[in-house]
Amino acid sequence: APGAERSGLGAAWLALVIGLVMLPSALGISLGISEAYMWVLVKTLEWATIRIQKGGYPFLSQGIIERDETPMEKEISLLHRADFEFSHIFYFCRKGFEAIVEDEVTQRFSSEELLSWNLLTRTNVNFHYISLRLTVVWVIGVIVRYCFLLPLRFTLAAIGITSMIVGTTAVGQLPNGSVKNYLSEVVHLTCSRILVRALSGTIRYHNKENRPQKGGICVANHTSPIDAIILTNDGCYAMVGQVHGGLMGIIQRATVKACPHVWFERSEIKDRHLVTKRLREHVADKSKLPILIFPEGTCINNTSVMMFKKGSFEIGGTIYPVAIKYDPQFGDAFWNSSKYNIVSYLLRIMTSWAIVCNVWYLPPMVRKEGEDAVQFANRVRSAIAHQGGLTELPWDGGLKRAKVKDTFKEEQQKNYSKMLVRNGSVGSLSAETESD
Amino acid sequence: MGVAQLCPGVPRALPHCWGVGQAQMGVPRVPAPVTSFLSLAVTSEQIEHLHRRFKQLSQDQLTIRKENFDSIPDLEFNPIRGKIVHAFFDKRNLRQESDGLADEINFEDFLTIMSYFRPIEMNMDEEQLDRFRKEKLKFLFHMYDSDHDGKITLQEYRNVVEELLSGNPHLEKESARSIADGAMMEAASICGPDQVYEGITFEDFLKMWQGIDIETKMHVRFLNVDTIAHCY
Repeated sequence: APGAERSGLGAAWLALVIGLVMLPSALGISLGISEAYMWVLVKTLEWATIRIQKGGYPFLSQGIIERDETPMEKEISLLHRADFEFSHIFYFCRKGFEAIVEDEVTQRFSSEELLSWNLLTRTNVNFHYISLRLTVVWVIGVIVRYCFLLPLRFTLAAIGITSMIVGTTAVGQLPNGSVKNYLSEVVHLTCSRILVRALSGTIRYHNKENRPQKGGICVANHTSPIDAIILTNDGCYAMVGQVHGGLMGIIQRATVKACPHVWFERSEIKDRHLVTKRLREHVADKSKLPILIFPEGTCINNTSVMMFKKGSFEIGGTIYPVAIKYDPQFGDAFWNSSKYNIVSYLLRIMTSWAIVCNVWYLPPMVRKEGEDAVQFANRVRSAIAHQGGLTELPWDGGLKRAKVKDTFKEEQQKNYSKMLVRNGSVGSLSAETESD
Repeated sequence: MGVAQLCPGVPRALPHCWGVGQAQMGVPRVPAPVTSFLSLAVTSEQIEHLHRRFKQLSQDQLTIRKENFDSIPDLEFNPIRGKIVHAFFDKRNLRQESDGLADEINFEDFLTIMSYFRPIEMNMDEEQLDRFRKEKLKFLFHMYDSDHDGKITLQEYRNVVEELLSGNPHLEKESARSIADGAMMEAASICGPDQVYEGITFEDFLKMWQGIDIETKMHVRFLNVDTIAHCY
């Protein structure tokens, strides 16, 4: 009878889900399916790379122009023996042209360019038709990704999110205590693992001994909304963020019952003192989970680390820096929010080959005597950039949307004028002008 | 049929990856009118790079206007930013017969302006080098000569100095003026005092720069795009 058949099918499906997905995630063991997939993938991409190289096509370099890094003063003094001349304009002219051809900042807000094609249509910007075999493999890839992987991943993600909501709501009913905390951790970890599987994520954690402890603050560089899942795959954190509507809002409301995440209303988040106060209270309670913050404030393309906002570093407590570096060969995790909305972004992620990344836990840092928040922020940033092999840029991530602050501009121009004054070319100036 | 045909054509007609197919269809990868730019060691890859940059600046339109240069944070630092952007729209630089300012420029114009900053090559002969140098100095001359009358007057020079020093609020107009006057006096010693009074012409300007190596200071060098062996 069809009823029995359907229930038989339903039971089989349920058994499959629990056996292959939920149990291994809950216990933290791996069945080896992901590993096998990655092995096949790597082999295929290696083969593709060799074929592209045989085709003799040039690869990209990181930048397109060679910049002369001579400091301004040296260069101007080399130009002419006199102090101020028509020649000074050369320097600024050239710098201007270099900026027009290629500027360091906007580069970071678009995806990193690959050295070799990874058989995804979206990255095929510079590579040309090479061979029939490669095209066939690419077509197979498209079929595999869209018809097989996408539904599978979507299902897993649905299971993960549902479990998260149901699980945390259930745990939230329990009275506060160690049992509740333990179960909350189990639920969060399990769901995180399921979601990582949903992205075919392969994550390597380094230096696990430096993992963030309770009562601390974990800071990391930000590339995508997935960063949080990557980190919660290996530990439990108290999330910090704004309350959203829709599905995200439901998840937030459910999880906060089980575990003290810090969610702010939109109106509250504008009040910096309130935010700092609440976070400080959380950190002061040593039994609470470490909070997770992304100080850049926006998604950067994972080739560099931009300015860290000092707010996170004024809270106090121990900072546990974490560096996350994605491997773009398998899938680009960067969310270019000005180009894609969250839904198309998730679609792109789910139709990539995999998300492969390295996570380094860095030794904890505290603010030194006499160091202000900005200096401390920069120190932490350097450590993260150094470990992840990212470049450091002094720019504000807010530049994605806003213009350069005027104070920043004036600095450069002040330097130039100071240099002139020092060279004594402006002999008639009085001492006052040197006051800054 | 100019460069404007080249790159907008390629992405829209076919997916960009089938570049070879384009050649087979009889559409040349790089059309003839861009010979002045191509006769230098600029490869078609570099033109493609520049084209992508152009599209980024123009936000996928066919032309760029002055406002599009506002989107470059690095350029904000530059005190003579206004003059540089102005130079892109200056019809004298665009090698057009007319005078004045263009409202917008297309990719071919963009390349024309970029060509003022090309580096010298090893195999240039005397005559080419001389022409090369004159072109660069002419570009610079146009930057100073803001009223397009073919002469740099003391006032025009003062304007440039003021702009260069504009970032420092402590430097008064007087100081900027004295710097400008000092420089003009130096120019006078080379060109002869009468010239300076009326204004420096392009010939005088050339004289000022005689013997001084400017070619290496006024260029933007592209990195070589070599095949990198990359094994995964």
